[in-house]
Amino acid sequence: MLTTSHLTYHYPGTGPTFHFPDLQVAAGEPTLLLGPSGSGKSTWLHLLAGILTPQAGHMALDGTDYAQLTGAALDRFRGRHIGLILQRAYFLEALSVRENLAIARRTAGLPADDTVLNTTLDQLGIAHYATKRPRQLSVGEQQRVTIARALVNWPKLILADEPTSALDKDNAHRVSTLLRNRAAELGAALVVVTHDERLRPDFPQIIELQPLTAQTAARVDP
Amino acid sequence: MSILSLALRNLLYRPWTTALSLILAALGAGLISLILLLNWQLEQQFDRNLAGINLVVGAKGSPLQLMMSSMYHISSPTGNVPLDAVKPFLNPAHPYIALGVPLSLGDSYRGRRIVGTRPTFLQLYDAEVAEGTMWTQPMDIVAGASAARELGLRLGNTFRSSHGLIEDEDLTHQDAPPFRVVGILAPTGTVADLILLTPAESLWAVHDAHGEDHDHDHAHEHTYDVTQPLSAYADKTITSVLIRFKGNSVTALNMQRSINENTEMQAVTPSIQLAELYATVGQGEEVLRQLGYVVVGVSILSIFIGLYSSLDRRRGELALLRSLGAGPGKLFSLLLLEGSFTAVAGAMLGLVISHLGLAVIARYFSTAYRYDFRSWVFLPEEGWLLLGALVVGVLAASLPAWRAARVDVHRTLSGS
Repeated sequence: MLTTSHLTYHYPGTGPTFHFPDLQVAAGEPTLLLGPSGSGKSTWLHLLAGILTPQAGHMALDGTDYAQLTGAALDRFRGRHIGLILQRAYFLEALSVRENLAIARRTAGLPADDTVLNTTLDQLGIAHYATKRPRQLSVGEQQRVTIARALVNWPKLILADEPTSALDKDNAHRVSTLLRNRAAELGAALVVVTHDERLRPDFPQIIELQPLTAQTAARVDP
Repeated sequence: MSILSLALRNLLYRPWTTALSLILAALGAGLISLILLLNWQLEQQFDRNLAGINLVVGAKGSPLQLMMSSMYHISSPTGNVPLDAVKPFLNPAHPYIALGVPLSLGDSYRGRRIVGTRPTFLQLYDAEVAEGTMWTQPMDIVAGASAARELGLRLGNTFRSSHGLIEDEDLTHQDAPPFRVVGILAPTGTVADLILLTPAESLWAVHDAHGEDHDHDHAHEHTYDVTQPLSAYADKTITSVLIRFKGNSVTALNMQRSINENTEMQAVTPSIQLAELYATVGQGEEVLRQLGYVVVGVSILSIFIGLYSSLDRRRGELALLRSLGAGPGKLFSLLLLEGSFTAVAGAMLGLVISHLGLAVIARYFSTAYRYDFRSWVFLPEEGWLLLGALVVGVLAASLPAWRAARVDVHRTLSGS
């Protein structure tokens, strides 16, 4: 479902150049991208999310090579097909939990749909917070809102950035299960980027990133 | 959840910043619109009541005061002039004068001025008797439309006048014969609506009685024939004469100069007096207008600062919107909407405030001078004011909006 090949990203100026391993993620095969900080995990995630555009390489989701998309077309593709769960919980502070989900549909160009909103909130157990402001919720509840928002458009690809790093063992396991179950239900590819070793047993496919220095060495001396 | 409703919610989410910008925009727009409205009303009132009068002749004194008292029935008359001296202006066969209307002022009834005159007064303002008849004898009153309505005067009602122009029980002419309403004018939209008309002789009759308090036998000896020309009375005085010329204004200027130089009276050209008055009022108006522009400038600054300073805090939100599929254009229009909505809503609030303010001023004017101001007139300029507010809002928001559109999503979301 998601396939990438020869993804390369070079930061402008004298910044480092990243060469990322090729990926093949099927709908039923949740994938863990594991690596220490500084290994380019965020860069990789933002490439996969269509926030950064790679200098070289391909990434295809359901046959669309969105590495070639730019501007409005890329924005539209990202909004419509990719559900992004960020490490930090960002919200539209002025809006309620429910409206935060509604605006995600709107920006993706999807019609308003109360049933989808209600089901999504229900499945994540936050239906009774629907009219609250996100900042009134606990950190754990906030995270579930961000997960709900990533799912509300029924994306083909769900990307999660360090979803468990701040949680204890039980909760980490709970979130990991939640993500995998929801992805399976939606038939979406799931990619989790983390340095959290505890998640290893939950994921059938694990790709480990080397620290930047090792990558550079690998490139100089193939 | 459209961009527009998101913009509104964002504005409501920081109520104090929004309120400050809104109030400043309202003050600026309100001040400018109030000046526009007042100016318009004033010129309307003055110009409508110009009534083609080329010259006002009366006793020496302030020219403005003579014009105000004789044409607009504001402020006190300058004094009286002997009928003998103004007789030529009342001559219907005068070669230059189309219309000469005598006025006797000085008495009032419950704050409404009683104007002693001749039926030619109605010609000046195109007034017609709507109810009852024209006067036939002294003490007959033909009431202006709004004066009759507000005083509740009906045909056949009688009343006694007061000396002077203010409402004061002690100044009522107790011994004078009462006035009787015989006619009511149709509304004209001019000063004729506001006053009580009577033959010039009525005022003499009132004061005859007054002067001969102790000698009642003589009080009713005077009999006046209100149909004969005023020039028939030799020893009487009146307040002023309103003159409409036949030809061009050169005659007016010459006659004015000759009266001012050769007689104990003065002659005033209303159009020149009005121009001078507007110029004087215009200076104060200009200062207020400048003040309005300064406040508008401050409100632009306030909208700009409000949006710009919110950018730092909202960077994450904006990046989030981008990650959810909103393009840079959406973010640009979001901030533009917030800015222009504040400006336009503020301007609308300002228009409401200025009309309320005008309503208050109108009340004051109608109690103090009996003039009717229409406070719910909307001028085309006010539409332009709203359009201007839109432009101002867009201008104030454009730099913050441009910055918002350029938020670096990757750097913001990865926390670096």
